[in-house]
Formats: sequence, C-alpha cells, structure tokens
Amino acid sequence: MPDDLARTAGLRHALEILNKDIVPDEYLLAIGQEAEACTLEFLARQELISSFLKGRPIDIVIEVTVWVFGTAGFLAALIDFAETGELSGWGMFSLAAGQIGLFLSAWMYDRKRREHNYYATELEEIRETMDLLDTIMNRVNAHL
Amino acid sequence: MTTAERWQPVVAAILTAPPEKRTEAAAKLDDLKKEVAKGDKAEDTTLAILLKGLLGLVPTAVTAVAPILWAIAGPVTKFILESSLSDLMPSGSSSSDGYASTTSSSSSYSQTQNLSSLGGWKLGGRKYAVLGGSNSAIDSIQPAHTNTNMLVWTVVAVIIIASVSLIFIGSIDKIGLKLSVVDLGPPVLAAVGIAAIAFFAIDAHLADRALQRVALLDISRTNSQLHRINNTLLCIKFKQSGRDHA
Repeated sequence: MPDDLARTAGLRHALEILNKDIVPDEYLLAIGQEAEACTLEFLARQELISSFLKGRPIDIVIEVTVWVFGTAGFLAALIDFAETGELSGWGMFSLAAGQIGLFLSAWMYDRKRREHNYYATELEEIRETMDLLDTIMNRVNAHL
Repeated sequence: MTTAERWQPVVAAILTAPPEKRTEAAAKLDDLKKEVAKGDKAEDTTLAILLKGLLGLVPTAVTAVAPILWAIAGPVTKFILESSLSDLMPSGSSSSDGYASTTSSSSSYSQTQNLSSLGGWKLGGRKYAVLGGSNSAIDSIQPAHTNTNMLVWTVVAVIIIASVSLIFIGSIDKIGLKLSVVDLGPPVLAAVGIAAIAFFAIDAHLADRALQRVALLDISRTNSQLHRINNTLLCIKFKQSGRDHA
C-alpha cells in the first residue's frame, strides 16, 4: 500500500538521521512520537485481524448449513444405493444436492484461504516494520 | 444503577462543553452507549474510535467515561483512556501504571484518523465476505497457495463431473437403454464428497485458529513496544524540561 511504503521510507530516513553522532532532542521526540503513532496503528490493525480470524456468527451459521447440506446429500445417496444396489430418482437428487454443497464448501474454503493468506501477509509486514521501529527506538535510547 | 444513571456524569461533562460542540458530542455519546451495550462483544477498535471522537470534543469527559469503559476496554481503548487521563494531569505526573503517555492532542487527532480509516477498510470487507460481497483488497491479490487452490478445484470438478455422468447414465438406464453403471461409483463418489467437505470445513478453521494465535502474540509484542516507546518519550521530555529549567 502506498501509505505503508511512504511510512517505511520515512522510518528509514529517521534511521539515517539517528546514525549521526549528535541528534537534537526535538528530532528524537518527533521520531519517538511518529513511532508511537505507527505502533498504535499497528496495534489497531492486529486487533482487527485477530477479531476477524475469530469468525463471525453469521459466517459460521452459513458454513455449517452448507456442510450439513452437502454431507446429508451424499449420505442420502449412499444409503439409497446401499438399500437397492442402484440409485433411484431420489438418490440422484440427493447426489445432486451433495454436489451443490460440495461446490459451495469449496468456494467458501477458497475464499477463506485467500483471506487467511492476505491477513498472514499483512501481519508479516507489520512484524517487519515493528522490527525497524525496534531498531529505531534502540538508536533513540542510545542518544539519551 | 440504571443505564441513564451510569452515564449521567458523562452527560454532565458534555453540558460543560461549548454549546456548538454539545450536539455532536451527544451524538457520539449515543454511538458509544450502543457499542458499550454489546458488553464483551464490543469491538475494541470501534470503542477506541468513538471514545477519541467524544474526547476530541469534550476532553474532560474522560474522568467520567473511564470507569464505565475500563471493564470492557481492550488495549487500544485502554491506551487512549490512559493517554487522555495523563493529558489532564499536571505536566510531569505519571499515570497509574507507572508511565505517562506523552501523546499530544495533535498526534492523537492523526491517530484517530488512522483508526477511522482502518475501521471502514476491514470491517466492511469481512461482514459480507462469505455472502459474496466484494472486497477489492482481497479479490485483487493472487494467493500464494495457488497449487492448493488448483488441487481443490480439480477434486471438486472431478466429483461433480463424475456425479453428473452418473445421473446422466442413470437417466438413460431408466428410459430403457440399459447402459451399465459402475457398481462402486455412487458409494465411492459419496465417500469422497463427504471427505472433501470435511477437509474444507476443518482445514480453513485450523489455519485461522493458528494465525489468530500468531496475531495475539503480535498484539502482546506491540503492546510492550508501545510501553517502551512511551517510556522513551517520557525520558526525552524529562530531559528537555530539565534543560529548560537549568
């Protein structure tokens, strides 16, 4: 994201300033406040991701419905076949219901894995920036 | 104590604000009440955004609102409460847990802006994700696990094609063409279908749980980093005030 790139560039610039022998306290304060603002924002993002990953009740209801629907469809087809040795019209209908459930399950799974991957990447990026902030704060402390 | 009595000190604080700010502050207080009414299910970030909005208009309301929010507040809201309380204290005094926040009102404002934009960006996307609503940020990315996706969709396609073929053959059989049906077809198909659904149900769930544990560890680390930064800022300010005094 452009904002994140700009922030990383700003932090690297701050690191360059901190590499100098003498850094005025005003700079240290400004850098510290920027680090504080970044950290607060990261905390908010992490909180959001964490609450997102807990799952929302409405999602769980839909997912469970689809799983039950698909499994019941396949099971009904299986029972129908076991009873008569072939699929009746009802058995085929059940098999079709199972397919729909399977398709929806796969679609939701694909969606969840994409979201999962997206948030895993975001957490990783935050972690990397936090490492940079850690280094910056070490340098700031060294100047005090 | 009724809800109205509980919020009475906050209302009293709002009444002390300039008239032009009262209406807006009252509206923000209503939103805050609704979020607080959710109890433990209240979103920490939403609380924080609403709280910052209210305190931006009536900073003195923090002393009245802190006792109400503290029990359900998460780290972000608590941090804002601590910052706002320490802002009200005379310069140089510390907050209750031994460190004073040095967040100035201008940086607090920019943080509020960040939190607001974050709320809209994530919460909206999640709410309708499974229902098929669009989330451009997620839709636009290419998954790193492309091979897994291909495998998933291949398995699904094979099962569905096999099922459709079976139904088709069965239909032909029924109208008298008597084509042979593979005897083990239906049970194998049903078993594979059930196994696939079970895999879809469990795998994504376990992956999310694992990532959530990582997120909680990250939150813990960020919290300690925040305390450390605050201590450093306190040191800088202390050093500056000592120099000014000298």
